[in-house]
Amino acid sequence: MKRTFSILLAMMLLLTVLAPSVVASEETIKIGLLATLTGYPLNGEHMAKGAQMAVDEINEAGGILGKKVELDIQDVGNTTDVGINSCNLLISNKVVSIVGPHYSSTCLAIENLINAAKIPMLVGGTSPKIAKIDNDYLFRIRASDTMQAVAAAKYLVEGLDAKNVAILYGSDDFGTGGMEIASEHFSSVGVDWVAHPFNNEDTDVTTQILKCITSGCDSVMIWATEAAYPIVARQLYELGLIVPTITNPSLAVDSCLAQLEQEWVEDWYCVTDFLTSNSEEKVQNFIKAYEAKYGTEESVDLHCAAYYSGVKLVADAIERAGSTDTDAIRNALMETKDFEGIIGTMNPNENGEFIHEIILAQCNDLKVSYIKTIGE
Amino acid sequence: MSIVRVTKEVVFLYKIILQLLVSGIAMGFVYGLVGIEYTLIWNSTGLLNFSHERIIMLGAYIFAGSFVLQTGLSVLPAIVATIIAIIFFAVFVAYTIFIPLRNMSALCAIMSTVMLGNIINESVRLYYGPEAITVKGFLTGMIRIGTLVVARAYVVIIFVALIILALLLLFMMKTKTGKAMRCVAQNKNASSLMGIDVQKNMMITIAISFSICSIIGLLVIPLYSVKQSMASMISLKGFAAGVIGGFGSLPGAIVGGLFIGIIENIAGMIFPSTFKDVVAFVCLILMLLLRPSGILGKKRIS
Repeated sequence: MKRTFSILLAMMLLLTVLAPSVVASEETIKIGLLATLTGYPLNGEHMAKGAQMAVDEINEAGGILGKKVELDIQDVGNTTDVGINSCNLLISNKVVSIVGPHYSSTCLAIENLINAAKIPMLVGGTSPKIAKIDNDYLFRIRASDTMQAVAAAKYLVEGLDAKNVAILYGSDDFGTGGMEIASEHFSSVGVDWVAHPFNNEDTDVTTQILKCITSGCDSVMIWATEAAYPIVARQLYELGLIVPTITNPSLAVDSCLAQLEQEWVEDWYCVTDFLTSNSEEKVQNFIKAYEAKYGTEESVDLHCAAYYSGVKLVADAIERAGSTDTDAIRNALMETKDFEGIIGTMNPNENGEFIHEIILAQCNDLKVSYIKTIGE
Repeated sequence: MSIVRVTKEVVFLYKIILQLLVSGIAMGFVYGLVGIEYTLIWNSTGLLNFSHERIIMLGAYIFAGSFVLQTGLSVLPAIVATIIAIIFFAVFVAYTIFIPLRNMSALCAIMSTVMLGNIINESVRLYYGPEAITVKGFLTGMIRIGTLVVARAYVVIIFVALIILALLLLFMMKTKTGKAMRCVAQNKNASSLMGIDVQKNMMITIAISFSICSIIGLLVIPLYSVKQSMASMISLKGFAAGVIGGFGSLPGAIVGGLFIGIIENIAGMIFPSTFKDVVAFVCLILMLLLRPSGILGKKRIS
């Protein structure tokens, strides 16, 4: 009994190991997608739908190099160990490139795997650390935090004429990074600034806001994760610090706006990578196509757009390389010039960063509307 | 000229301190209520309820998620419905966890309350989803008193906390059940020899404690919306409040809560603001080292 069971178990294990190689056919080009399908936050479904739409469009137009494209979607969960397993699985499935993951922590955990396997990976993590890694196969298809913070700081000074800025920032990696970059910019252009941190678990930021008021600031910059906004925005309003305010992209996220009252954030500015109210033709066409495919009740967001563009970019690189050799694709990616992505024109710099522009938007009546696109 | 400036600065400083005092007192009452809520269970069953953080959160979710958003009740009936629902839950938990476990080793009992917390946490995540929810317009807005700005939520917190305290005091001092609760807290064996139904008494205590939890959950909704981590910091500081005020003492919990609430706000002005939490916990450790019985504490009769 025990023996039959162990034989069965062994056979099952063997089958699972063999299965991918049996299914894989020689005729298709495989592109891997690392998406957050389980765990919080669940944006992987949008990543997968965006990427699948790109693959379907490519196949309808005849594929690449005469072959059909196949999308291999794997879940990265929200822990790095799941990410590492999925990445290894994609490598063993012989994908020619990987699109995703979306989070910097996962990107940092798996970048050495794809470097060893020599497979190009186009990630959506925005941490400044990613640009500093010496990895020829690592690319980024979203604007980095550095770029976003500089753009926000510049707009405060040039567009809103700030002379004395108060920076309220989360004390985590993300907030501190943004604060350092922005304050450096303020110092370099001779604008006075003060910076006051708060912890992500903080439930009361009265002290920090009073410190800002005491400093006599004429504008505020907030750099923090979504969770802080309901508290910070409410208390800024209650304590009467109503001055031109600019924030990181969290404000433009629907789930964040849903927690705010209209008067707290009226006329606030934010920088963001993707907005459905962007009037550019390519964006509006993308939204129409997406809604035609998946239905209008689906909300089109950054994840759909970024990873759609990522797959299209890889397809373009394979076409230009004229082969599915991963090194040739990597070189073709580096030679990309003015590729029109949905979230911006894509041109790689020496660190493999493709996006160098960001959207400036304003919040009115809890709706974030497009103002303009700012370059680096 | 310079005297005018100095006076101006002093007035400004005075205003700031007043502002900080108000939010400190309001948060202090929240910590104090947390202190009371678990002290009740501690006195009655001898167990520390480590799931109280999750019960505060559960109360907020039942109110906001089920009664306001799903069934569309208005605020007052929803509050009543939430408290009733939590009382049913408390009775269930009392008979399945707290009462059977009261005679087991402390470690087993503590672990089971921790696990209860995890079960609530994951069930809430599955049922209500991972995204934070809010009740628009619930206790928002502010009241201006001269130059002082006070969030309406803070006023309500202070007011409700005082009402709860008064009711609890009346109940404990004047009613038979309340007196029985105090007896059970002092000596379980003697109480049961005197004809007090200790189990029923524990059940009532747990129901009261859980109802206070759910009210805390409701009160802090306007401060940090309804999410899974909403109560983690207040539950920890509420614990500190209990220890600082005097473990096992109900008035002590309130004194400790106010002490922490005010100290951490003032400290945030002097030290870097992120040190706020550190100050609360340094106070806790100092108190344990210097005066383990707390501000109002006396030695517990064992």
